[in-house]
Amino acid sequence: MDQASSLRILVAEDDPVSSRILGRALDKHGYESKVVQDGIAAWEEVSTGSYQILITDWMMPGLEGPEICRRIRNSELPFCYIIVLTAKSAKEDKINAIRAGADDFLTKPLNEADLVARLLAGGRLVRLNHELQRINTELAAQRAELATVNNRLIAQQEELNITLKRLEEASRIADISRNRFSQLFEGLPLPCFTVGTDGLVYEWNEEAATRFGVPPHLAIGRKPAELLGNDLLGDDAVGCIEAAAQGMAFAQGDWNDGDQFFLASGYPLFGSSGQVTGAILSLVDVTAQRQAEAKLEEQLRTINELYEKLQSANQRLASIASLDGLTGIPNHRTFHERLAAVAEVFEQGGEPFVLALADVDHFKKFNDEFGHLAGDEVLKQVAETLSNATRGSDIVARYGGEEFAVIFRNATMDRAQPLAERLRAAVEALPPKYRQVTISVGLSEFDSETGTTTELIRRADAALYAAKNAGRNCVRAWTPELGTQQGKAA
Amino acid sequence: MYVDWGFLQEITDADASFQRELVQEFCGQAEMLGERIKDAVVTKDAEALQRAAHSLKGSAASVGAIDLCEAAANLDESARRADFDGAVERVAALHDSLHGTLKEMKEWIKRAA
Repeated sequence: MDQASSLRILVAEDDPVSSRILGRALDKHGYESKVVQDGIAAWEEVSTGSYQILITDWMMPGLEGPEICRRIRNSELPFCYIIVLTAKSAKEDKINAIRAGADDFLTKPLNEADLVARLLAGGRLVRLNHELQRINTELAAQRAELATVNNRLIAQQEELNITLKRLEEASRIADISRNRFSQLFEGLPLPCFTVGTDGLVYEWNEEAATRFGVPPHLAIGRKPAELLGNDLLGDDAVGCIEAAAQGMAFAQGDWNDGDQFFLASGYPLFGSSGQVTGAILSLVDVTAQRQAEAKLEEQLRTINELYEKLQSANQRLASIASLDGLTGIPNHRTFHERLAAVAEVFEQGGEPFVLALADVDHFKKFNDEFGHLAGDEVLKQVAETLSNATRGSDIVARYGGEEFAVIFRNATMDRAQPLAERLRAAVEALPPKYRQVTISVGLSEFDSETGTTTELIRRADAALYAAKNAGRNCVRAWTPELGTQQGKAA
Repeated sequence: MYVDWGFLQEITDADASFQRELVQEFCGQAEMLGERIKDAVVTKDAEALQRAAHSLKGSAASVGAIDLCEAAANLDESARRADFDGAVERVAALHDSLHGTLKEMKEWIKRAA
């Protein structure tokens, strides 16, 4: 590229003659130039930034040369080479021009060779300046890029720091967990151990050491069966441990060698990525419980045997008993024995006697309403009342259910009737706990005509039936009209 | 001889038409500045006087009007020193030189044409 053509030159000269000469010289040397007549126009042109060289007169209307120089140097404009035109004589002007920011000067009248030399020097300086500016711009760009890279590095460093902190935190938590596990594991009051996937012992807690007499440093790396013994750890148990170490948990495994009893549990252990790394096994000693259970079983068996013995004894006892269990008065069997005895005495010419059958009125209904315990209470009360209300020689027995039998000894019907009436009244007079209790009574005298005690009972029964029919709570004696009806009223 | 024609020849590279152009331009400019100097004396405006003298000095130097250039420089100096009375004396000398210079140049133009 032609050195001259790359430069644009502004000429600020108010003298038309000088500017014409200058313009022609620039033209001749291939410089592109523009001429303005005063300082204000010159500043307007220069401030567009499109001139690389300014040739300005020292004295001009509007703005003078030095002021334009100062303005250019104080601006942000791209470098502009300034040549000031001065009179040959004005030495001070030259110095002032350079001080004001001018780069060079030319004296008037203009010498063409001087002009060209100045322009070549100026052009070189302009190019150097532009190069410098370009490099500066590049440098600035590089600096900006460097700053960006630097910022990115700082950001990455910060990210790295955060990650490191997280890692530290995670590692701290992991440490805590490990410590907690270790404390828990060692502190467990149960024999406890872990195995790897190879089924060999990996950890062995203090309780296990105590219990099985193997210190941890000797236990680690060995097979559980070697440590616990093959009796305690049978094939099934070994299988369970191996399965647990492959991910299959088990609980409540019954491990025992006959002397020691354990409930064993095994749970798989998992690594950080979820893979099974082995298993943890714990043994609960249930030997004491098992022994207690065995003892209890033994005792229960003894108790059962005793109970069976007791029952058969009771049965035997019942078969020979004479008193009614509930009321404490003679029972049905005793009644028959006594009746037979009394009848035998009579037949041998002894005393007459009357049989009374007394039945508690509406007893079934009472039971239904107040329950059997209340019913039992009533029966006891009636039994006691009957016993108290009879003479010492009379016999009171529980005939069955709510029915009582009384043998009035040494009595005929005439004598027996008021005695029976006394019984009825005594019962009626009982203070009612649930409700008033009454009895119906049937009487029958044993005589030569009666024949058998069975017939006697039948007749008394018939009389009782009559008393019930008569409205209950009354006494009836047997008459031949009553026959020996079997029907009964409660 | 008011003008150094050799100098003019030199700065114009002996380009006759440019010489003529330049001389005509100078004549116009010099007449205008001469009038301005007269006015400045009348209005006693020292600053205007100095400016006009300075401009005339530059123009004259450019074309080789050496006599006029010297007269303008003297006036410029007086005005610059604020020696108004001295300046007025020199204005007369300048006008003489201006008159002579213009006359010589116009004759040169006629000859050249």
